[in-house]
Amino acid sequence: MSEITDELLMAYADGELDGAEQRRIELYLANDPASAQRLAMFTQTGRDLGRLFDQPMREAIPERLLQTVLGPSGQSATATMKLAPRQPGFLTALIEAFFPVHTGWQSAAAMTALVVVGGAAGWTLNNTHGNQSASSSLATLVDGALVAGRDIGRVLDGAPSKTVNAIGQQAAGITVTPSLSFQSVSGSYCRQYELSNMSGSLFSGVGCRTDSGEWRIEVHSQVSVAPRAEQKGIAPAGRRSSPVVESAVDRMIKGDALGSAAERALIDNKWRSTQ
Amino acid sequence: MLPRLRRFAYSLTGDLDRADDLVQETCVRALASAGQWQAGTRLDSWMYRIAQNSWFDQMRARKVRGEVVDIDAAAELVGSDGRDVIEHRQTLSLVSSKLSELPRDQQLLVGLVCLDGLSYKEAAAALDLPIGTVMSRLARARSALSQALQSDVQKVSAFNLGKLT
Repeated sequence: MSEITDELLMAYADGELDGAEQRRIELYLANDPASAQRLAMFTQTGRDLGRLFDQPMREAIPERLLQTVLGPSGQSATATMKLAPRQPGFLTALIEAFFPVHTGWQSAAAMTALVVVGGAAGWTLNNTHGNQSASSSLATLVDGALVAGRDIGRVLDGAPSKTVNAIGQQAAGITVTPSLSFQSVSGSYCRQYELSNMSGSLFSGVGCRTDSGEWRIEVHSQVSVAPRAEQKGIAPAGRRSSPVVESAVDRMIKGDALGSAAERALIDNKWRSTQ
Repeated sequence: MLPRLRRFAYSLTGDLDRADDLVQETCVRALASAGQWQAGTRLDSWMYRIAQNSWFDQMRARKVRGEVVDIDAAAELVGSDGRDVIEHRQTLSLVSSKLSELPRDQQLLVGLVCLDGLSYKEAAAALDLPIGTVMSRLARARSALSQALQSDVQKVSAFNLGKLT
């Protein structure tokens, strides 16, 4: 009988061989009891080995990691963006890798690590990403910052908080709901919003108005309906939010959120200070 | 892929906290060196490599500082958990410390094939290697891993190889 190499045995253990080769190995194993030990070397270290380290696949990415990736300051999401040289191709790839369209079981927290990048998750789901020049883009990458597209910009410009606004083509089923308006520590006006799409995914984010009248997306992440957190009663019923967005708002906000009258006045005044 | 990156980091560090530090470092480095990534190539293996480099840097720094990474001490980490959990931890720290010692090319293949479940063909495409090279490296890695495990079986009495199979 010809020599059976380690590589062949390993391939057999991994189920990589076709029928004929598989039978050849089986014959060899049957005729040489000592070979079982050699085989064990590979069955022990195969995919079962991988299961040893599976814990991260079963749990949410911890807040600590999200925070450290986010950085300590409210503006750090932007800082993270600036770290990435202007290479949209890389960001697109990162987005696709980290936030695939069919995310299935993955916890929302897992989607939020690189928040601004994560922001694109919402856009990706809408199949508009990668098409940054199209007017239908929900957001575009401008000089390393994510800027709300025309549709979302219009909602953030003019819609009072708590109103649900359908945007884009009706068939897309995308709605944007501003949820909170506030002034940031750097003086700009910002609005927290929720974005949902046809497939029922919910995202939350914060846009801040720039001097040129655009809404810059500072944070955007998928909202979790984390079963484990709910069991512990951490996520209040009826209020779904992203811890990443919440903590970003906490860091960014100056004083309290704006009341509805102040918000109305700012909307009427096109977000120029009314004082 | 973030959970997968975390799992790969976990296999190197053998400790979740350290794995998270490593993932964080990896993300920062990846963003900073985005220019080096070639569009059209796989991002996961690229980031795994960054994770490996970061981990080697950390281990080197630890050695310079004179910290000793004691496998036996790590294996004695005992919680209030049941025996199975302790055994699981021992196995885990053994495997990850052995994995850490492997050449990076082999380590990466163990990550892609044994952890992520890529086929040899997929791994070969991911790393742009001939399939024969993938198989010989992987076989070498796993026989080293298995020999290390066997010799440790005698050392650690509570170690239960059955957990692995």
